[in-house]
Amino acid sequence: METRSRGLAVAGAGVIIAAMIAGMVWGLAAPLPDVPMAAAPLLPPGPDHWLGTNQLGQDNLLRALAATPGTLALGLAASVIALVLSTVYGVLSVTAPPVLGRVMMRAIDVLLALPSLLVAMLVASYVRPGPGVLVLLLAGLGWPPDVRVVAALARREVARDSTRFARVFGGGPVYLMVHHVVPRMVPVLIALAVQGTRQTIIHASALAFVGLTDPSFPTWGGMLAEALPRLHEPTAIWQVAAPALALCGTILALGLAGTRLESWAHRSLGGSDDRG
Amino acid sequence: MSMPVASALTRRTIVRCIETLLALFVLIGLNFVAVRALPGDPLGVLFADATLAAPTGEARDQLRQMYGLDGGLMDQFVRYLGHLAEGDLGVSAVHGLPVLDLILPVAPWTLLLVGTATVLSVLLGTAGGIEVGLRHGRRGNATLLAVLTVADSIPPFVKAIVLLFVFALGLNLLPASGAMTQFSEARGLARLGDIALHAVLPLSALVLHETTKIAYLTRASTITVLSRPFMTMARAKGVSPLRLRSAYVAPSTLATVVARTAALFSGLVSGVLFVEIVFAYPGLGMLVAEGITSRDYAVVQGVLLILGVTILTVNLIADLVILRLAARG
Repeated sequence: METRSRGLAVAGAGVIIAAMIAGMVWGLAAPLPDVPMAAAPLLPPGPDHWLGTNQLGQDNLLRALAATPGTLALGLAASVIALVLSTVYGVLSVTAPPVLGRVMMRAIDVLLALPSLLVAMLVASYVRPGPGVLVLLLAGLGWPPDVRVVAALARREVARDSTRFARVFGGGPVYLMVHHVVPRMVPVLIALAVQGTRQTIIHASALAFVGLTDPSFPTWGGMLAEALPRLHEPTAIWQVAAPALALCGTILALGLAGTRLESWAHRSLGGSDDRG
Repeated sequence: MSMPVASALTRRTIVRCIETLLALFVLIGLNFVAVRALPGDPLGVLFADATLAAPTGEARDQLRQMYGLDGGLMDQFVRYLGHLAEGDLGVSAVHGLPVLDLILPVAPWTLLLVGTATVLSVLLGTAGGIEVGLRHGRRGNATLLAVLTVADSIPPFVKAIVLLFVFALGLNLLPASGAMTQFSEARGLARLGDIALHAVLPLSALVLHETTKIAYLTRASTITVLSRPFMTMARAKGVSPLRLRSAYVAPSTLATVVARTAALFSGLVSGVLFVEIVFAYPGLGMLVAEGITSRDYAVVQGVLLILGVTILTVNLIADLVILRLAARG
């Protein structure tokens, strides 16, 4: 059971990572044109359009697929930026003089008290961010929760004998961080990155759903919002199906991968395997 | 012995209050900076979509004054804080009314949803989490966990859409939109029943969303409690299943649930916005949605600011209660 599910987790993670890299390359090399308005509007599912068409005669399934690489790339980019920020900040707060370190952690407490989705909506209401600004906005709101984890780990690694020896042999602070502290944190950082990607995708889809992102950037949340005015008609289910399944499936996949990675990280830090 | 505990408690209370004040300041500051940090004239942003001709000359100065955009930045900020302290959130450009006058009449609907959902999700989440936790290592445990995981992966607005399709459109059991039947003459109990019926679906979406999170937590702490000697003892004594749950497991898991109140509340407050949009429920969420579509910035920011302040206040109260409880031991 354990081996099989671990194999599945690795395979799942592999697929996600491959899709993300492909998506990044694709998205950067040639921004996707919007799906053509090739058919009659609001067609029911048929052999030509498996999930029917929307108000503009665009294929529902195709649009959901076209939004995939952008969504994954956006989630990954924001979570990597957030992770770099939180790692640098967390490590700095540990190596800084104790008084400054304490002030830095207090500042994090202040940021953690803010409801991040509401703040994102507040800022986005002015900016209507496209993908680039959205990445920065969500990264800016996503990094504080990771700092505590990173700082706790860094504190533990700094206190290790190997790190102390390296310092005695003349390793400077940057050398110590790059060669002794951060490498041991990698499993945890990977787990945090996956959970961060999941959180970013949830937030980005929520913003798109209320119409707070640039509408020319295709998103699952935006597609669901387009179906809102016709929700009272049963045929709207075809318009909703593709983006809803894509969104929930992605969040689920990232959640499962994240949980697995967390227990892997837990073991790699020397923890026992018997957590609930 | 009691003195150091009391002083530590006071110190942490003060620290939490200062933290909340700072967070409040950051929130308000963000709102202030956002419109002014954009390239170009803030007036141009505020009236980007105004149907009236671009205001010029004197009219522009007048508008600038009306929206508090005249004078130096520091001066503007102080005036802005002063207005907020008086409860003045600005004027809606679309409705021509003070934002607060738009918020107050619809806020009770949102409060109804959030309040009821908080109580229900704590009760259901704790009970459900204990049940799942007690089945740890038995048959069906994996299925239950899978259901929880899948339910947790569905954003609140997708949950709301699914519920709408199944129960309002598919089975035709419950009303699909609004908070009560329009132009209804019903009074008294019939009216309350109507309101309750309309609240069922939005509430279900919200409760489902937060219940899974609480159930996860309660499950984890139930499993740790299970291995404690007093549980073995209770089972050996033949304590009834109900008493085992209510008197033995529930009190031990309560601390985790209370500690989660802050996150629970902020999840519900942001979730309710999306759920209201799906069910066209006439609360703050609809107000925000309308504001976004009509680019009525003052309304959007007014609502978000009020919700943010509410969340910060509730979280502070919850934290202080937890501190008190922890100090008592």
